[in-house]
Formats: sequence, structure tokens, C-alpha cells
Amino acid sequence: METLSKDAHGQEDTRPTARPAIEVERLTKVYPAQRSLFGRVQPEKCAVDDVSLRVDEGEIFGLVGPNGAGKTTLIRILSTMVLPTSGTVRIGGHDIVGNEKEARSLVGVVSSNERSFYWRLTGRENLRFFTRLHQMPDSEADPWRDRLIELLGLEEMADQRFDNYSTGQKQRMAIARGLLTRPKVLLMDEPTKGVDPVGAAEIVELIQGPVRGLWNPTILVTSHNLTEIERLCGRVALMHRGRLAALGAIDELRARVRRSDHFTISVSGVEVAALDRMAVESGGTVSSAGSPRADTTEMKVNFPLGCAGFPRLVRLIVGAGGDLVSCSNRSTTFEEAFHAVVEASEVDSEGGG
Amino acid sequence: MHARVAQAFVWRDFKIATSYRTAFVIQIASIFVAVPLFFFMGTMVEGANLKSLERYGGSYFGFLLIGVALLDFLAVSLSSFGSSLRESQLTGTLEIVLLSKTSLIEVLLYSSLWFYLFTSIRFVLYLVVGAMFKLDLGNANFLGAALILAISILSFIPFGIFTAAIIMLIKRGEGVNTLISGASLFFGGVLFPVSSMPEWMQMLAQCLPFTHALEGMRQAIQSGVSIEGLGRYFLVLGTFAVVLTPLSWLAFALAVRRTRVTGTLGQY
Repeated sequence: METLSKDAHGQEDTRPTARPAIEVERLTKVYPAQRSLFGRVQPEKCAVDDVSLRVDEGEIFGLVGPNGAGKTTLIRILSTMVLPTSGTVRIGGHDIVGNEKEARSLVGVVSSNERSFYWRLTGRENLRFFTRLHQMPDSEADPWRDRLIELLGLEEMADQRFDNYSTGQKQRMAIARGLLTRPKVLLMDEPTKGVDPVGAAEIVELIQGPVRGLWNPTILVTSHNLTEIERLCGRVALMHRGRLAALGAIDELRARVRRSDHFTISVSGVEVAALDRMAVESGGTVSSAGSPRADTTEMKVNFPLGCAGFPRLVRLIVGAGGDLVSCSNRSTTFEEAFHAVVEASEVDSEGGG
Repeated sequence: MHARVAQAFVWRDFKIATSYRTAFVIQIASIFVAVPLFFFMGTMVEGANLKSLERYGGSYFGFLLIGVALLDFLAVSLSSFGSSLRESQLTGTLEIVLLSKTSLIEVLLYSSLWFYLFTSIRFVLYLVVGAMFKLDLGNANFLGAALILAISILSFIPFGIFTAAIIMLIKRGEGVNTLISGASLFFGGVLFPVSSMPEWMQMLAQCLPFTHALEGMRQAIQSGVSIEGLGRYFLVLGTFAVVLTPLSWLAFALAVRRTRVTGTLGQY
């Protein structure tokens, strides 16, 4: 079983023992065929297929994948809204089928559906209603609700009707609601959906900072915005067609799909045509080359992983009387890794029938 | 029963209902239009000296007014559970509510409280405005009427829960509502006494709790029958409630379980 070794910023995890908050073992969910009076409407569908993963306490874990990958079904199973067909799921050690109530009491959900509030009540009134629903005593719930409003920067809007809120403010309110019961596990399904880039960045900062700083809840977040996932999460699970296509730290995922080293070099004293020849001679593939200034040539060149082509190229440049002015090594982006994993998974699925 | 949770639901629904000011006022004002209408219909029918109305003091106005007012309670029972469920499916609050400590069946019951409260206010208004049009309330047994009303509601609720279970499964329940309220309107004796129908229809009418509820209510208000005299109605309505309540809860629990298997809990 994998454990978190580095956080989103590459820092070593110093937690003494990483206890599991979410444990998923060989989980499968098959939605039965839906029939109408006049015959079959929808065939049986396997939404989650033999998925196993573990999320540790305090971890921010990303769940990514193309549309229809099974992310939402997995989240709905974790929140006990959907029953699994087979396999086991434990939240804080409680089985979601056998100890449903205990498991559910540990979970908070942040929904991306902005309709899931009462639009004709104010934000504060909405939150008060939900604390009552959770049967929290007012003496405890009221100050906590006010603190959440402050923490999420909603003081100015709190006493205005919910239908006056912007999409970003509605999402913040959804986060506040998800935190009302101080859940150990927070499930966030596309928390920035529909929010503009500035608002989305603010929400990501809120999750990273104030929300995580509360009691270090375990957060499982889904998003189609991979930059956000990269900023937030140490590890990710990449789902495709119900299966787990990849699981691990984002850096590991990038390294796994990296097939070549990408260099951008700036050289003086060597002409474009000569530099091009040297790159090919060193075993590289030139993706672009040009002379932005009269005395400098710039080139993007890729070398197969582990072929030692780049040192060879440097020797050739120096040998020809040129100087290497600057050099940068561009790593594989998470998006590239995502696409590579999805493509590989497609090939596997087709190969396996 | 969690009083604070119930209070939160009543307060939420009151706030939402009164935020639609015009609709709220129209719902109250409609009584001031309906009662005079019933009065003039009553004047016309009472002129015929119908034997079947003797049991109700010969007043068709009172007969019709109580029938329509009580039908409101049946309509609320049939619609409030299903509509609150459907609304929470449409708005996406259902799954949020299900994550709370409050069970879904409690949520449905609490969601109906405001509607029962509002319908009770309308019921009293029907009687008050009726009294302004010479509805004879001199003999009325109000305590008996209140008890009949309470036990009638308990016997109507299972039908609402059954409807909610159907909505949970097939997402639309209007047909079921129309069927039960239509049958109650026709067989239950809202517009004409049950005794004026053919015998086989009278037997069918006895299968509906609404028939007994309405008869008990008329006996309490129009004939001033004592609590002891209303015992038969308490017994019949209580039996409906005791038998149907667990069945409706079971049906609803099975419907919830089914939707958790099919993944259609929040679908609409």
C-alpha cells in the first residue's frame, strides 16, 4: 500500500504514523439495468471497477479523470449515498455498509451544486438550518457558524439572501456547510466549478490555508482543473472507465510517463543550421530553432530518457567555439502525464476487450 | 421527534412561504371568495329540503364548507411529503440532508409541519368566515373536532409517505395524488352525502379514511356529537393509522434502499 512521502510542494512528510482515513478495497459498483414499462432503457453499467486506494489522515488527495470515469460514483459511495456492489470501504475505520451511521458522521460534503441551498434565506439562516439538521446545540453551533463565515470571508454577505451571492461566494458557503460538523473527512466534488479564475484561486488558497489549518481534515477533492489539483494535492488517483489508471504522488506520475528530456538552450557563436546538425548528431530531436537576436541561437531539443545526449551536445557546441548562454530543462506537466495515462489506459482497455 | 429540528423546518418554510408575498396573501384571500360561493350554493340546495341532509341539521352550506376545508388536509398530506422530497431532489439538498443525523423520514415529517399549520389556520378561517355567513356553530364540539382532525391527519400521513416512496422510485407522483384525492372527493362525501350513493359505492367509500374523517368532523361541528359519540370514528381512523403507518415507512425505506443501489437517489 502506498503512503504519502511528499506533499504538494515536494516537502517530506514528517507525520510519525500515517493512519488511514479512507480505505477502499476492491470496490466495484455496477448500476443495474434500468427498465421502463415498454422495455429496457439503460443497460447495466459498471461505474467503478475493482478500485483500491487509501487516503491517510490529514492528506489532501486528488481524484481526477475524464468525464464518466467514475469519480462522482466513488464520492457518492464514500458519502454513503450509493451502496457498493462488492468490495469494502472504511471511513475512519468504520465500514460504510456495516457501520453506516458512524462512517457518515465523519464525513462532510462540499457539493458543486449551487442550488443545494435555500435561495430565499440568507447565508447565515441557511447555515443555521443545517446546524439544526445536524442536531448541534445552538450554544455550540452559533459561534462556530460565525467563525466559519469569517474564515471564508463571507461576513459582508452572510445576512443577505442567498440568491444575491456570486458563484464564488456560493461555493465558499458550500465549503462552510461542509465544515459545520467538523468532519474528519471532507469530500469536495469540483469545489471551483463555474467559478472565475481569480475566485477559483482564492478557493484553492482557502482550502490550502484556513480550511486545512482548522484540524487538518483529510480532504478528497475532484476537479477537472489539473493545475488546482497539482497545487492542492500530494497524491492523486487517476480514474478512467471506472478503473484506477494510476495512483501515487504527482511527481511519481510525471516521472512514470516521462519518455524524454526536454531542453531549451540558448547558444552564441554557432549558427542555426550547425546547431541543428549537432543536436541530431547527439541523438536529439529538434522541436524548434531560431535566432531571436543576431548573436544568439535558441533551440528546443528532446533527448530519449537516459541517452546522455545533452552532455554530448554541449561538448560539440564548445568544440565548435560556441558558448552555452542559458539552458533550462522543462519537466513533464501534470496535464501531459494525465493524457499519457488516459491514452495508455485506452490502449489497455481495447487490448483487453 | 426532535423539537428544535422540527422548529427549524417550520421556520424555514414560513420564511420561504412569506417571501412569496402575493401567493401567500392569495392563499388566505381565496377563503373570502370561496365561503360566499358555498353560502349561495347552500341557499339553493337547502331550498330543496333534501332528506339526506337531515343528519347535518339540513345545512348544505355547513356540509360543503367542512368538506372542502377538510379536503385541504388530505391534499396537504398527499402532496407535502412528495413535493418536499421532489424539491430536495431538484435542488440537490436531498443528499446533504441525508448526511445529517436527522433521518429522511423525520425530514419528510418536519417538512410537512408548516403546511399542516398553515392549513389549520385556513381551516379556522373557513369556520370564522362561515360564521359570518350564519354557519351555525352553536352546538359545535370543538374539542371533539380537534381530536378528529388530529387522528385524521395521522390516518392521511401514510398515503403521503406512500406517494413519497413512489416519487423516490419513479420521480413523478402526481398521478397517485390525483387518484387518491379524486377518489376521496367523489366517494368521501365532500359534495354530497355518502348515503345518497348506490350501496356498492358506499362500501367503497368506507375503505377511505377520509370518508370517516369527514363524517366525524361534521358530526362534531354540525351536530355537536360528544367525544363518546365520536368514539367510532376515533377507532376506525386509529386503525387506519396503526395499520398503514408501518407499511408506509417500510415502503419508503425499501424505496430509499433501492435508489441507493441504482444510484438514483438524487436524480429527478
